Amino acid sequence: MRAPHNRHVPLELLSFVAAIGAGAFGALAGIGGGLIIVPLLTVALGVPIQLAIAASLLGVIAVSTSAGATFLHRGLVDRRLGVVLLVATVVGGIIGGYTAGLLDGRTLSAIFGLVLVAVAVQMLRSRSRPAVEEVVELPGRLELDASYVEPTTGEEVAYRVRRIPLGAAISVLAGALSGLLGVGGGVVNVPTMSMLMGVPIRVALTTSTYMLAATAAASAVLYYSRGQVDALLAAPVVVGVVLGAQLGARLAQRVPQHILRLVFVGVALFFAVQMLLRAVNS
Amino acid sequence: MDQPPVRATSAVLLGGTLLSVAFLVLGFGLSLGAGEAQSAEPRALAEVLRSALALEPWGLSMMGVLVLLGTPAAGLLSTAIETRRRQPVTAALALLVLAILLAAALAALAG
Repeated sequence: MRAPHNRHVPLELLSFVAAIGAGAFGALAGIGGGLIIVPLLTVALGVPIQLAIAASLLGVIAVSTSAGATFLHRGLVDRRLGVVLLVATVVGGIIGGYTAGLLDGRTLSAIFGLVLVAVAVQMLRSRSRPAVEEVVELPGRLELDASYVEPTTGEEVAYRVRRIPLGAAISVLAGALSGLLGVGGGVVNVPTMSMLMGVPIRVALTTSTYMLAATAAASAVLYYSRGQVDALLAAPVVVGVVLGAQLGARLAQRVPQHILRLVFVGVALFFAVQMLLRAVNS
Repeated sequence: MDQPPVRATSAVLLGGTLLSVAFLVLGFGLSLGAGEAQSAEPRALAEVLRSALALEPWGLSMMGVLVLLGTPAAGLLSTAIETRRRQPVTAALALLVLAILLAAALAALAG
């Protein structure tokens, strides 16, 4: 399976430019650029959706590894939590990758759109609540204490990760969505960590970014094995995404947390409408 | 709180990304110059290596894809090594995730 031959040069150049923007946003919001790149390639340029999803997954890996390396080096990733949740997201990614194509696309699009609406509404409702609960007791058996230095204030912020089993269960869904739709899974992981598990939004964003690579790799290998990776299409997507991710990683250091939250809500709503329209029109 | 080091994992992730991007940039640039679509079907590693050594856009790009696919696995291995003393549970879980990834890849490629 190949992308359309007669449009190779404009397709690659346009993909390259779009991937720069998608990569910057992916690193900033912790959701990867798949939700932007897949519709662009399939709807605007006529690329088969399997190829678009595979290229998107590779872009997600590139965003995660490049921005994740930066976040890790700056002490903003909760690696203990990330590895715990990776067990769940990777299993979900494999399930999603295997079942891709077996389920009705319209139903999946509709469900995903509704989930995004629910997430965005919940994120807006949670704005008035403190993101971090005060740590006054010793952690339970299934809780983790951690801290990070907030780059905008220089203060050390302590937090306690709660409800890990429930968070891990939801992370399976995040991985499955990644494998099915070619998105990063951060749209589920970030609000799960932030709202359900008591993780500060900045750490949720950076830890999600760190986790996306292994999750997307689990699915991308399945597309590769089916011959659905077009390397010549993936090249401009990945290169553009990496350039954009470096820009996004720098911006993420300077943008206050409430701005990050609003940006995340706006993007979630935008793509919710997109997914619902795809369900109706396909 | 005494945190395990992160330098090696950060370097592995960044190094893998840069190496992958180097292959992809070469493949991308040469494909623009070639102006003609290449075969996308062969997936055998030997064919990828032959094509890359011949400086063909497809082979170079596919090398970039393979390096990119391997980078998260290398990052997990590095995480396990870095955390094995101060956070042994984290190290064990990183190895578990790595094992799941490798098993899925082998099963997919074999099937």
